[in-house]
Amino acid sequence: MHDAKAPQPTSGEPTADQLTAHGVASEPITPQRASIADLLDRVVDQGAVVSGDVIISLAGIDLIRLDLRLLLIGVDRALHPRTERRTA
Amino acid sequence: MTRNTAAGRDADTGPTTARDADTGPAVQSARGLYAYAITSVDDLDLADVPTIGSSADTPHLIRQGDIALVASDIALSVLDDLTADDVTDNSKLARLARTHDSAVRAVAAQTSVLPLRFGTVVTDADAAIRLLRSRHDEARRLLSHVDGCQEWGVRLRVESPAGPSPGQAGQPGQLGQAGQPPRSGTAYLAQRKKARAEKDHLEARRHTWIQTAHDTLRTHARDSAARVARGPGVLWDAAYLVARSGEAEFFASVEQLAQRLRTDALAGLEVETSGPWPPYSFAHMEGETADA
Repeated sequence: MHDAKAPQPTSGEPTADQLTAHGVASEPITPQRASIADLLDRVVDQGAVVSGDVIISLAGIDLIRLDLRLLLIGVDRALHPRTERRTA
Repeated sequence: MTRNTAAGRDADTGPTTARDADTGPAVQSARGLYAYAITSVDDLDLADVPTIGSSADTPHLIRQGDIALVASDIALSVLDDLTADDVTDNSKLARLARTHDSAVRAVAAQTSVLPLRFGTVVTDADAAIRLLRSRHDEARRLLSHVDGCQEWGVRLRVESPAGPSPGQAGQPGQLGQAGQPPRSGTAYLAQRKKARAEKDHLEARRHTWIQTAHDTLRTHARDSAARVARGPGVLWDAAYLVARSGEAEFFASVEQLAQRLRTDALAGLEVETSGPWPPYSFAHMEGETADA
């Protein structure tokens, strides 16, 4: 996801070393209430896929799986209208 | 698999998807096993684990060797009528997804889990066991990879979507200050060049922050996964698999990052976290494709 070589920080910007300096007091992350977007992004879009769509017979295993791909596209559009999709 | 192929297969095999449920009366009574997660076999208490199906059909373990499937009996009609038209908190999809998530979390609180994607249904316990057999080695590998860890989401976002962004800079209409239109073509071109340079500089500065953030956070994580950056102002989105024993260091890193970001008003970025999550972004099986 990232280039092997990090861009050289320009003057005045932090380095990774500065950021990882020890001894700075910090508070734990306060878990934020999961937004429905975050939830669906993970529950519907992530997680192990153990079969194809709909009904399949994979090596003798009869699996039923919803065809969720169309659903996903719809979810994405509904949650993020007019948002340009970019990968990290 | 295309929809056409699927439809043809449905006709041959009887049981069908919720999406096609209204095409055949037999479907109304069709039942299956809704699978939430693959887990290590442990002494699990599943009494209070939420269920997608009716309250009588609580999730249970289907064991095969040293792994198990957490599943509950459902009528396939439960998964009927799912639509993305309504993704509010109270929509059917949101409720079911939340239940799925709650069930996975309930198990994850007791042992390591591989969350399955929403909507995974196997025909019966025999199918579940064949599934576990066929995925055993990979499931074991992934279970040990995520053992003792939780997933945390981290995003970098432009503080105010209305503020300067790479996409907005460089628009001719924004070049000159109000009331001071460029006096000549040369001045216009110079302004345009300057605006473009500023835009490039801002993008580079923000990219540096993204790189810095990732390089810092991943030192406190067992694994990381890029996520699609979407939503207003979101420039970067990633998931980190963090050991519970290492969360303090991870949080400290995030907090330091947030503090440093606040000192760079020009970049105008803020860090946002979500979690903890079960390891949804780290449960991908090899060779998994929609057409597997």
